[in-house]
Amino acid sequence: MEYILHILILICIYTILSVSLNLLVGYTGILSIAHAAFYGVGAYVAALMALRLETPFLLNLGLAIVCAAIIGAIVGVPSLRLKDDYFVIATFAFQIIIFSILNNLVDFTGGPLGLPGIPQPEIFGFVISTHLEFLILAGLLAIFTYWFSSRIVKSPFGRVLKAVREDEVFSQAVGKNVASFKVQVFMVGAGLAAIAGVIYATYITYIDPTSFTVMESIFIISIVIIGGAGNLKGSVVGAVVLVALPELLRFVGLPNAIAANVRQILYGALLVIFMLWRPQGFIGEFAFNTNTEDKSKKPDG
Amino acid sequence: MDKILKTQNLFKKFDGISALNNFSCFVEKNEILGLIGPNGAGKTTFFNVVTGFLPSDSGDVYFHGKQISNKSPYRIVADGISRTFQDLRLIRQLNVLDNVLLSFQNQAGEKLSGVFFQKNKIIQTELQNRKKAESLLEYTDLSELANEPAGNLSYGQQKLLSIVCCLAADAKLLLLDEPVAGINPSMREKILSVIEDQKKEGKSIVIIEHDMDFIMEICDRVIFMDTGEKISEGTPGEVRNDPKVIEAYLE
Ligand SMILES: Nc1ncnc2c1ncn2[C@@H]1O[C@H](COP(=O)(O)OP(=O)(O)OP(=O)(O)O)[C@@H](O)[C@H]1O
Ligand SMILES: [Mg+2]
Repeated sequence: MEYILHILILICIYTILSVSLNLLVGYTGILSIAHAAFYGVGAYVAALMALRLETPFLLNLGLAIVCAAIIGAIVGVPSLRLKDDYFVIATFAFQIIIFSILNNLVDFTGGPLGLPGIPQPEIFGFVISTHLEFLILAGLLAIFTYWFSSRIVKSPFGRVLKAVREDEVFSQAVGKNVASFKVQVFMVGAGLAAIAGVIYATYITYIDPTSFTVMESIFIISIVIIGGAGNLKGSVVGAVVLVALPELLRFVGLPNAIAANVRQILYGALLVIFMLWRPQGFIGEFAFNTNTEDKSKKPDG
Repeated sequence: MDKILKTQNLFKKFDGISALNNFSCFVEKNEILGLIGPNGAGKTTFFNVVTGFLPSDSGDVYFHGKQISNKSPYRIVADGISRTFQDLRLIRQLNVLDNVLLSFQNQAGEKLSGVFFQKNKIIQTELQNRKKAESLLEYTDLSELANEPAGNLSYGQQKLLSIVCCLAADAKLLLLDEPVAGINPSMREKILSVIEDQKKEGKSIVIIEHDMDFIMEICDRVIFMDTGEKISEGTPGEVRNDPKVIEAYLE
């Protein structure tokens, strides 16, 4: 039973990550491979606050979101001006930098040894400790993330995001400050990803830098693309499938060491299959890899 | 009459080729100005510079007497200049109505704070804009296509829709880059009447067009340019009969 609850909690965490990344990748057409970095920022901010300052959970959660969003702005303002490919590289660089900081600032972050003994969340005197309680917390925060994101994409703001995804020049020509919209949505995505980090840190009670690598970013991108870019429900479906699927491998009786490798291969294969034959994912509306009309970037000719 | 747009001594070079060479001109309030010239003359470049999509190498652009050179495109739209593109741009994946709705300026719902804290205001402005958009679509006979993805429209309908988007943006000055090139005669008539209506409403319009009949029919004044320079300027008749223009076309 605990095992199933554990899987469900992971699904909630990855739903938060994929829904928030979908705002960037699926709705705005900006491919960031730094999502795990913001996930990590959230986890470390909440963990350090709880460990060092013993501040309450909700404050830590709020601060984690704000920190990630601010870092999102600092990274986003210069890098979002770059063309697609260079932006991907810039986010990759940022991902590496965050990993190095977490790994090397030993006094502060614990370095490779990580931070053990993260206190469990206490909300208005109620300590969250059982799996079921964590599932409820994670579930509520996942619902909040979904609601928040869906409010955005259904609004006129979301209409502009789609326009930016399809044609930046036209968006400017109808008076939209494209750069500002991109930075704003990047900050929102970063802030929401931090929520997942906070849940993860307080649930596992131990974090180290290996949970927030570029591989993790790519895993989240896989969820978005396989679930369906540009469709929030797709991200939920994607999270369920990609988190649950490898668990099924256990029941096939593969030894753990091999299962880990098989899992990586499986994700890779799934991603390739979807990119080739169903680029819009399970239920997406935006075919990610067919949007190669680079006409959308230059004014006229 | 007042000059709504004035440009002074614009220069723009691409790899040594002059696209704008000391180009100065003005647009009067409530006039339709035709901008003609051979391929590569610099007409589109002029639009790109005025609308902020390309920086000029030097020179100034004034709108309502205020300098707008080096402003970002979105600020220039907010000031009241809208344009269409020679290579036809719209958000093809969004439906026709959404393209028009997207084009309204200053929407509360396009601010994140608005999305979460001004629900009622957003619903109200969205409803108002929807009404305006629907009446614009009705006026241009595109109502029936309101829920079609813009990409499903015919080429002519898309060109018309891109003009409707300029109207939704509430532009005082419209810059239309080849609005009737490659479209059928009946759509041409419709676009012509829309442009004439805009003039009646007090707007100013600049039209780039290779179709000389269209230019002769609709323009109050014409500028002929070649290799980035203004060669001739005057009424359509004057420009057409200007020996320099005839010479340039014969070359
Ligand atoms: N973004 C650009 N980069 C490089 N060269 C350009 C660019 N835009 C225009 N040019 C060049 O500048 C010159 C003027 O081009 P422009 O598009 O303004 O001509 P035009 O008068 O609009 O011609 P057409 O009638 O064919 O549309 C051409 O030689 C063109 O190749
Ligand atoms: Mg042109």
